[in-house]
Amino acid sequence: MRSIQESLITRLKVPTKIGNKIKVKKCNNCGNIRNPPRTYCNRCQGTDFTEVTFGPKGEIITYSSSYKRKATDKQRFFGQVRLFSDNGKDSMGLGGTFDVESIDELDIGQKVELVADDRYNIFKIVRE
Amino acid sequence: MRNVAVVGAGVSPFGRLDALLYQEIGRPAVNDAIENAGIDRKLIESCYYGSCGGVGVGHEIMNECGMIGIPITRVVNACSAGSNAFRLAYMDIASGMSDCVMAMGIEKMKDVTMAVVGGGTRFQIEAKAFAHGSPMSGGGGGGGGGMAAGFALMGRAHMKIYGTKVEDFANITVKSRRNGSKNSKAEFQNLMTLDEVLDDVMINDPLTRSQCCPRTDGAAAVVLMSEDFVKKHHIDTPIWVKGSAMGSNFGGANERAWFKETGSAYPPGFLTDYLVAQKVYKMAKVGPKDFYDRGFVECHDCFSVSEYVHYEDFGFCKKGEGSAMINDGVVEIDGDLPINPSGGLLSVGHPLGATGTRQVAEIFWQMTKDKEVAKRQVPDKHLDLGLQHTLGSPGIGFTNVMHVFSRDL
Ligand SMILES: [Zn+2]
Repeated sequence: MRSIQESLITRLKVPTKIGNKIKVKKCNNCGNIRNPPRTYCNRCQGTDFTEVTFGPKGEIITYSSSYKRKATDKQRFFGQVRLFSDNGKDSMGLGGTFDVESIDELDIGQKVELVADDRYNIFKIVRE
Repeated sequence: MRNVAVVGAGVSPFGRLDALLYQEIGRPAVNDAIENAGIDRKLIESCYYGSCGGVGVGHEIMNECGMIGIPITRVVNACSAGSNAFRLAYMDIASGMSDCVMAMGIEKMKDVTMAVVGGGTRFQIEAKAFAHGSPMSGGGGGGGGGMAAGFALMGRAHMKIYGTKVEDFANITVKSRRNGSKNSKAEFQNLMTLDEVLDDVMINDPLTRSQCCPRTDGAAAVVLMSEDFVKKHHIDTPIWVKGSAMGSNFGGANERAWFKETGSAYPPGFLTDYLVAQKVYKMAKVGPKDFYDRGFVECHDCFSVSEYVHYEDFGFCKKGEGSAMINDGVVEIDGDLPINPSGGLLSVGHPLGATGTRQVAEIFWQMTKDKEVAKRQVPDKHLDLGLQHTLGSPGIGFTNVMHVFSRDL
């Protein structure tokens, strides 16, 4: 029998990052995308899900530059990306860091790809 | 519901007050508010205070001010804590529970942490995924400048969608400093040129340092009364609360809801601002145009970008047309719609718990033509209506509070 604590835990202990893709849950009742995945939907409280894979393709929603505390700090760039599902039917917002040297390389709507990295969300620019 | 009025206000000097005790910052604000109201402190039946850092400090201050034994409630709701305390004080009287209540706010920012929820929120999980430190954390890893990051992202989206210029945002600081230079309580009382704002240290593009409000310490208090008490105690300049509204929302892109409400795909603004403004206008039976005709505004300009999007989200102009509001002088003290005559959070400073009551104090003083605001007095024709607004982010989502005030019952 499960302990009370166990029965309260609703986190799904599954790896969400698989290479340059992210596995999340989509609510079968209302279509809500759950990332990080949980055992319930926070919109309709449903518990019936389909697994959907997102990435690596995405596009920049918005971006900015990091604050350099010291002059020697490396300038970083970060923002929000609209990441598309495998079948192109769904998208979800995902925050992360851009692998670029200058803010001039970034533009809203610019195509990007999620890079394979277990710990961080890093996006590289897709040049056409 | 009963009618409720603000009858007095007091504000401590705002600035870096680390060396002072909470009591030393809060007591003058509380005592000034009572003196400004011209009442006996024994009339005050309860107190609500906003403070995100100091546990029990409002209790201590009220005790130090000789108001011992009354119910005292601390409100912790990030940047909206003071406004939220004011709203509870209003509800206390409107419900008939009390006749005279104090709303107060105080903060020493060194005691405040924004990491108020314990590590499991969506926001915090995502924050860990930023390489080299989260841009939202403000600390470690050189990631970013804290809250500025979110507003910078909003500003960039606005620039792309509507062609807004960095100068348009920066001009809001120029206006803020101009008003702040007339406010002896403000942390920053120096003027700044557009070039100085643009050439300041970059925090998160497009926000330079002076487009971000400072971490300021301070306190502000106001006294509220029922209509019965206003008459009984012969208060000659009551300022009536005509509307009170509050809402909450997830931070970040609530894209679908935003689209449904506004038709705009990505929110370069705040859906909650828009919705709470609609609520408070309805309760006060006013609309955005009424503020052009006879009102003014104290709103939450934590960053230049935030004041800019408030112009649009409150309905003072169409989405994408905020630039004309600042560039054409509409929002100046002598403009068509004065916004933040105090200098706002950008110049006065932003002690989280104190900001809301500080804004109410400004509105009260403006409407009663108090000597406190003599140098920055809003013209007569705009003193019929006051709009107060804060936008707080208690860790994960947003909490908005808005009030409408009037000289007429
Ligand atoms: Zn659902």
